Amino acid sequence: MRKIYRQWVEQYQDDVWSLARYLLKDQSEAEDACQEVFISLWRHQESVAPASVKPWLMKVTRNECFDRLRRRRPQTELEDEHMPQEAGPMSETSQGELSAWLAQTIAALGEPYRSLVILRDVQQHSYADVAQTLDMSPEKVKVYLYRARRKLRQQLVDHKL
Amino acid sequence: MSEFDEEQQPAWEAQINALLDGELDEAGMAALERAAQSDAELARALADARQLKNLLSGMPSERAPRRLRRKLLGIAGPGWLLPTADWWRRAALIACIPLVVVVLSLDKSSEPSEAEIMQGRQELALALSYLGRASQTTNAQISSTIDHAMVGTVAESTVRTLEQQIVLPKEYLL
Repeated sequence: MRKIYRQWVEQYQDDVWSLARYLLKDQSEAEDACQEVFISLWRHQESVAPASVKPWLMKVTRNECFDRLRRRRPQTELEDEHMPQEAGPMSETSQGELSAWLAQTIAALGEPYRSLVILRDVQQHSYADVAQTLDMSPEKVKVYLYRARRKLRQQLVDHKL
Repeated sequence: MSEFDEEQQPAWEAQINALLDGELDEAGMAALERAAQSDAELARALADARQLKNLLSGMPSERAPRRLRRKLLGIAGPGWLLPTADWWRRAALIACIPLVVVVLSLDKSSEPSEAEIMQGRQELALALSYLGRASQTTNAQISSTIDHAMVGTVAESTVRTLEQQIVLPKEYLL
């Protein structure tokens, strides 16, 4: 049991961490969330099918993050040091500035679009895993993701104008 | 996001979505690019989609910090941070490397070449001749020092000892 748990930690800790960082935008809170997620995995490992561990982890991470976001007071919204920062006026059209802008734009998307873009386009999980994580059919995932991408493309055009 | 009505979108939107998914094959890509040459709106959308794809794939994906990994492994119990059998095997293998190097170097030195033997002999002979000279000089110095200093000391000491042991009656004293 311990060996399998250890393999899962090695295999999925970065994905869980990265998702928590994108959703919570706070390092210490993301650490706490990751610990809660893996405590939950340790407790439920016998009931989680090995093939479904990754989507199970991503789903629990997402729920844990949403719980924390709901508990968080509005004034405690933090600037994320993980995200690329806005560039100065000299490099307004630089890649770094666009990345910073995109991170903020993704963070501002509503759910499930934000999670879909992070899981599929940033973390590049399969459609099947994303569908399992979000409790959606793969077809629905495709439709929602299509909308999210169109929205991002439109916002990119507006941003460049 | 209800403002997006898929029914009203141009036909090439599905292909652009496939491009963003990385699922557009070469033939589909070529067809899209050909169509973009005569359709400014498509050409713009294609450029924007490519830029978005690049930006998304370049988004940072930070690795979990080490301290978090230790905490996560610690969830399974304190024994987790102890080395495993595999770790010991690896450590033993790593420790063998300097041993092998030493053994190989010793093995190499046990079979010196003819030239090395000759040079060794010459150095040994030179060292022995220096030792011989140093020995002679030191012996002479020791002998001379003892001769001068010891004679007086030994004589005085002997006389004093004899005087203490032989207590003469007063009438024999001068």
